[in-house]
Amino acid sequence: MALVTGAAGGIGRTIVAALAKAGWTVAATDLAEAADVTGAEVTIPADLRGRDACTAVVDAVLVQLGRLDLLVNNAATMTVVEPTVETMGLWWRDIDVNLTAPLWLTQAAAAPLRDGAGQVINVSSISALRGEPGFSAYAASKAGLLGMTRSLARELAPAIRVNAIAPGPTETEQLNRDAEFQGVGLAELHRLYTAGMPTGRLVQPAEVADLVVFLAGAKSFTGECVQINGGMLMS
Amino acid sequence: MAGAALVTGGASGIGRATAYALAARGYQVAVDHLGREAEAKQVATDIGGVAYEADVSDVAAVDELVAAVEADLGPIEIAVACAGFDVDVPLEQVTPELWHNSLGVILGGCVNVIAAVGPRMRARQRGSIVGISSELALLGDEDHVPYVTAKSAMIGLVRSVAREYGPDQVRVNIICPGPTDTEMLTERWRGEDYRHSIPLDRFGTPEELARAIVDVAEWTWLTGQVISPNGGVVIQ
Repeated sequence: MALVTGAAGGIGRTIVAALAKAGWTVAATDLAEAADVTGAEVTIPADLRGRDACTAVVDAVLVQLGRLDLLVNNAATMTVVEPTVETMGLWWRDIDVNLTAPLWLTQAAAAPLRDGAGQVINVSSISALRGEPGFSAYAASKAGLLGMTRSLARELAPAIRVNAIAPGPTETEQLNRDAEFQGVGLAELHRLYTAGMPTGRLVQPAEVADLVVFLAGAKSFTGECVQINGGMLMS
Repeated sequence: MAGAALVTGGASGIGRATAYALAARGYQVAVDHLGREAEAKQVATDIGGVAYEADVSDVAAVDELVAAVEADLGPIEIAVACAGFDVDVPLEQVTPELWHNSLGVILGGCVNVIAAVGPRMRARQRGSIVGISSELALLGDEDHVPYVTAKSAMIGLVRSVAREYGPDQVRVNIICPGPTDTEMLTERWRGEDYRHSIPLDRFGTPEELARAIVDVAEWTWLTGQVISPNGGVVIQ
């Protein structure tokens, strides 16, 4: 049984479908406005801000599915904000969604995960590893997820494995927002991104989902961060 | 005269040693503390600097601090974000208060210094900021998730800000100290077995870390880097 957060987005939706195809029973959660997600056995609308909200989601999964074996922390916001005195309130938004929610979800899920062959997969980002100008809060949140991954990989071992993935530019609707931020058309953004990728093509959501499915069965991986970025950044 | 420098968490440990090291290189140092007035004032007296009290988790307070320091001592050439605290606790015992305090003081203490000092440095087209993280951010550590997460988040922040600030000739870097002999290095770390597992077979001294911090702050072509003086605890 798996729980995927941010399940209505480009990558989340594809992760749900890939897990379901691989035989997992999946609970999908996203904000209330999200529509049903293909492949999800159960859909739980939720705003993940605050420990109580996160505990409630895990409780709902246990009630509806009976057990939890895999938590995929994928829900994220990516806010255009520089760290200035005037904008610091907005700066913390990505930290709240991308870092604090995974903490409370993992805390709530630790006991049921321990009962199964438990694991957590945290979706980080190339931004954590190479920095992202204009998105320092996002990069900080995704880098914080790596420290969390390594720490919990040690603490929750051996019953629970904790890993991260760090996708590079992936072909989802987020690219429309990126294009807007950069002040270019979508085709130009594709060109800009792929110019830095030796493979010459954007990462596809299905490839990210396949990586999640792989890690879900990879018993010797824990505390690892697996990059998938067309060669934009090499380990 | 090398100019003014700011050290948060300057009343103790690595921050204190950094204040002394900066002063030895000619800087006039603003020693920021929270609730450690006697120690901070002693440091300031020793080095011809000035003690200031400000809660680094409060961006308005840090902005006021920076304005006061620049009014008193002139433009800040080097800012070192060293304020932090450390609590060991298993995941199930992490409370919202501990979590938010850890993020607020450790990550917040770094981003608030950047927010207050950074734009001023950019306008002057010079300056250097160093955030003090931890080798545990690179390794992970059990019963330590709030501290390690916050220290790790600082690295993503600094990598990004280094790119934002580069064109304005302002450098931003991270130091990840290994286990250093200060009050923050608790009993948990002071066993013989652990010490012998360190390739250099000893803890770091605050002075060794301070030297690295001031060096990194002064290296003119270094930005967006993570430098870890750690006695060999992390080799990768």
